[in-house]
Amino acid sequence: MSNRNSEKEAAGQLLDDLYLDMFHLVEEHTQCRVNLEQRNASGSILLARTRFQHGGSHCVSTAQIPTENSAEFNALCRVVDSTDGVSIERQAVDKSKGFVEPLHWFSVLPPMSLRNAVSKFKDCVELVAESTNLQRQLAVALDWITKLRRSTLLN
Amino acid sequence: MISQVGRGGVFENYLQIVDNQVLASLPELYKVPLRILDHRVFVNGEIEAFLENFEVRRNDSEVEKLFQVTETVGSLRYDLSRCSATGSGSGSGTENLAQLDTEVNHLLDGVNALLAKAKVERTASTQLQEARLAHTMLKSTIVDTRVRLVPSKKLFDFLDAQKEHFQEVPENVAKIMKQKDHTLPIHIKIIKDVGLVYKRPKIDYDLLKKLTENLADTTKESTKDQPEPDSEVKDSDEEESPKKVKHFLYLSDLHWLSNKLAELRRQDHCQVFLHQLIESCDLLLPENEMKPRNPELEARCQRLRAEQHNRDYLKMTKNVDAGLKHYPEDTISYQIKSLNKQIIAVVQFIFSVAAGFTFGFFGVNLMVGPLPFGFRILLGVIVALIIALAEMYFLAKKLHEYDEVLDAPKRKPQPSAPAKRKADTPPAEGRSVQTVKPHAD
Repeated sequence: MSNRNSEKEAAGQLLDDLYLDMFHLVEEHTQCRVNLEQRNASGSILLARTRFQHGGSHCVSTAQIPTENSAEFNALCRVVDSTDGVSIERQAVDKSKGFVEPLHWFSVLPPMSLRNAVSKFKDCVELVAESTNLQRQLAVALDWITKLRRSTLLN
Repeated sequence: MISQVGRGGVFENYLQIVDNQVLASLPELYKVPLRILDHRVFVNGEIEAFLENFEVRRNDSEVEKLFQVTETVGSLRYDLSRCSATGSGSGSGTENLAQLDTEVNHLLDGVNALLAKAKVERTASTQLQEARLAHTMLKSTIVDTRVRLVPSKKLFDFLDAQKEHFQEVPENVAKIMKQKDHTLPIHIKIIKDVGLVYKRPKIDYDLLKKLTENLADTTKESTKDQPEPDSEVKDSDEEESPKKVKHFLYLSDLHWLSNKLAELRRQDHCQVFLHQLIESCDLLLPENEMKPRNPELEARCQRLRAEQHNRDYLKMTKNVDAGLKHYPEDTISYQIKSLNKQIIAVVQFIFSVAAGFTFGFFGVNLMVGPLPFGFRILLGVIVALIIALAEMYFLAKKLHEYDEVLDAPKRKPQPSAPAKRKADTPPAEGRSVQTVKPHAD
């Protein structure tokens, strides 16, 4: 009987912790999304600023992005999905190995605002990965909660 | 001969009249190519006409037809009733007529009902309403990312019952209790949870797995307690009523409550778990606030968009419209302006190079001491060259920009420019648009 009681106690404690964990995850996830929104917005504004200051047509435009017929190059940033979650893997720029600097498509001496915009957008990618991880953890926590609630120990 | 002269005179007269007319309507005539070519105005007009036809006239015609039907049926009924009144004497015919009469009455009722239905203004679908709302309202960022919990009655009762056992209470909980007229004993300290940061609880996954292992067989046995997985996470459907509640429990309060409950359980005051308490509470997830769009901003955006479109359009049709063909380049002010800018840029260049040379020639001499003349000249030239190189880059950039700016619109049309531009934006006010000053850095 005491064994059963202690188990019940442990299960209750566990469920409480799971709930608290869920709340934490919800908050973190929201915070992450808010950050993502802010970064993205400021990156877009910086990009617009670049175009505004340097005369849109010859500074940053979609026409400068390589097309299918351009020389091939490797991606600088990869998404790696492992057991601990999604992570972002970045490569250093190395022309001999095919890792080109994308900024140089637009100009040899990129303006400061464009550089800042790039760093903001890079942050965005990281935040997306973080948000994905949090979301997965949240799903796991919710899963556990439903499972644990079903167990008869709590009734 | 005379007749020919006469004819010629008539013809000349006619020409004169036409000329006069043409002269009188010259300003109008001037606009003709613009009007013919201004496809935007044309398209907008077409759209408006179409919408009008579709929405207004169609609706009207439908209602009109229905009225016609009502009239016909009404007159038919009148005729019938008169018929039945006159023919009431003759036996079997009246029965048929009476039957017909009731049927026509039914028909009339049906038509009236239809008419009433048609007159009722149809409400827009939810999708359309949402789209309209999104047009006028703006989703703002989430300000408060905290999870909020609306405390339930059960929770209050529990807090009230157990308050003797608390030594300290977070400020927020104390506030909520006070609001609900639950007084706290005096000896309870109120903690201000400003600097307190709670970490995520460590979850013993091994224990969790162990506990849920026997779950598989227990669920089969106990089918009577149906799990309700959604009961704890309340959706935002029930937002309206809790929104009025001013006080919520935040995460730190829940942490405190959880710790306190563990303590109470240890001291055998009660056997209540947190999840049992918060089961009945409403969970409020952080949400975006809807803000109305600033009407001034909206008006300004529309004006700017219209200007932009006009500029693009004028650039596009510049070589078609003879009046605009040489428009900005041929005016004196335009030429002087561009000349001025280029002269200023060049003078700046020369001046800075000269200043650099002076520094190398005199400045270094003054600082270091007497230097040979040849060396001073060399120094001056070197400094001037360095400055010239740097300046050259900016000069080239600037001059290139002038070329670009003056005969082309400054900004490219945005590919993502929303197409929601209202159809009633003022049509091209062409002349004033081209004179918009290019931006100098």
